[in-house]
Amino acid sequence: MVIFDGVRKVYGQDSIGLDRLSLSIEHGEFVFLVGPSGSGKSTFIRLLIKEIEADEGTITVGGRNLNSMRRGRVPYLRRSIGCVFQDYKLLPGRTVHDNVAYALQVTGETPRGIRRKVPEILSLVGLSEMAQRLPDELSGGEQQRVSVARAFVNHPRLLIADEPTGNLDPDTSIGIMQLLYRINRTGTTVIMATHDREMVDKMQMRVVALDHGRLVRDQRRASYSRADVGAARTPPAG
Amino acid sequence: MRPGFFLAEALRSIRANAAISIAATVTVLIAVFILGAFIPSFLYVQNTVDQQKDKVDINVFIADSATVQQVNGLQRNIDGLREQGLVRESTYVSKDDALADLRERLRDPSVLEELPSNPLPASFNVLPADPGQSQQIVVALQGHPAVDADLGISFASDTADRLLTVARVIQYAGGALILVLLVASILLIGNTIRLSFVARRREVEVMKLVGATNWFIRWPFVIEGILFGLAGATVAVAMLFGIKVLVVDSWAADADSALTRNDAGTIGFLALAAILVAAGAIVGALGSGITLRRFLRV
Ligand SMILES: Nc1ncnc2c1ncn2[C@@H]1O[C@H](COP(=O)(O)OP(=O)(O)O)[C@@H](O)[C@H]1O
Ligand SMILES: [Mg+2]
Repeated sequence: MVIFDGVRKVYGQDSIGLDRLSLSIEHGEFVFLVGPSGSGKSTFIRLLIKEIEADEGTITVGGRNLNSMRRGRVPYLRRSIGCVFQDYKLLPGRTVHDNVAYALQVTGETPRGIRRKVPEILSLVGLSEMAQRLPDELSGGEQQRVSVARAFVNHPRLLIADEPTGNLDPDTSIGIMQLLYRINRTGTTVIMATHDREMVDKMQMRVVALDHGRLVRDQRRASYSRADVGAARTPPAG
Repeated sequence: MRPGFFLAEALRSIRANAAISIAATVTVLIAVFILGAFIPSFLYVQNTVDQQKDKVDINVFIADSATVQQVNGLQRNIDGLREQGLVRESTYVSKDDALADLRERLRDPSVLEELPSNPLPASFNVLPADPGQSQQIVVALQGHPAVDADLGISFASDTADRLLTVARVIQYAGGALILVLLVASILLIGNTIRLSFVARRREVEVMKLVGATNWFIRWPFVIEGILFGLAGATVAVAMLFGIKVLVVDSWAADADSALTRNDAGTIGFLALAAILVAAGAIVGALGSGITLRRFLRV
């Protein structure tokens, strides 16, 4: 689904975003992207949606080579990837319904399709009652649910989330995490950047750890940090 | 579905930036108003000049006292000039013909009934082969005994030349003024769209993140510009119509009641309104289109 091959991204002179990262993520996987602040998690995600471009190496998403992709194709790439951000990135003057509908409208969806799909997805994220509210009339957790609904309403094969629980309290975070997990169970590949240790430890999913833009660990059924590796790796008894 | 959606998006944006929207509309209003006042005046002057241009003929007025022989002699002189290639055509206009002509040009011919006798002279109406040679013809016929000593020979080519120059100056100056006004409106609408765009910069970034193409984002702004153009032009047309009905039409009525009628026409109001509204829409589309080309790199 996603292949990074020797990808390097340098911002300024000394500011290294990613340093020769090679990584492959299969279809249907759930991957935590972990690492301290400034380790390159957001850079990874912004490269995936071609918001920025790699200086070296090749990036392939769903069989499409992003290096050679023309500008005009980028919107179509983004429609095939659902995006969730720490700051929700909702359209402020629009209701919950209209925010979700916008992601359908850009694809040319008919009003009929919108009338069917939006309530469906809002009920999935538990916001049916709030369809006519504006974003600033919602709590942070509710806004993030709208953002997840918008990211998933087109049923993309890949959903990426950059610290989606970064602004939320632990209980609310669990709700968002469960939502992403359920989306993953429908067969959608999910990549989630986070430094929420507790959450990663609890989920025991594949963990890709970055530090200073380098891959320092890539492990299945893992915890947040290497200290816990032993426990996670203990082969099942018997 | 698309046009409806884009229109709704444009209206949403106009509502969000009401003050800026009104400013843009007023800008177009002013430009279109001046354009709308200028076009008919310009055409009127142009038509008047065109009519004068046709009047390069020479009138050789015949004295009432001239004998038939003298008039025949004059006719032979003119025929001679035709053989030399100076004169293209000549027509004899009798006193009665002249009176009939005048009767036709007057709004109220009854004033002529009160005349005791026909005061108009007979004349030869001579068309020069080349208006530039009018002077030569005049010199050749001057002093002939049949020619009326007071009225003499009149020709309009000097006036026509001067009018032509004036018309050309008006044409260039008017064209330049219209051009400046249109460019100014395009730039002002462009600026309004730019402000509207900058105000929604973050929103536009989000739209791009969810996969909106550049044109999907642009269309509402283009429609917004066209709506400014249409609104401004419509108000300008309404104001022009008011001025036409209240002021110009009564002037025209006054002018008509004067002794002679000027039949130099100008443009009909409906045609003018259509041109102005179309101009407003095009100005709006260009203004937003030009601005948006510079924005929106993915
Ligand atoms: N726009 C930018 N300009 C300059 N440096 C940047 C920019 N974005 C990120 N960086 C640098 O790249 C490195 C990785 O950043 P980032 O990918 O945002 O890390 P993370 O999301 O893991 O916190 C950091 O050192 C950061 O300072
Ligand atoms: Mg980050």
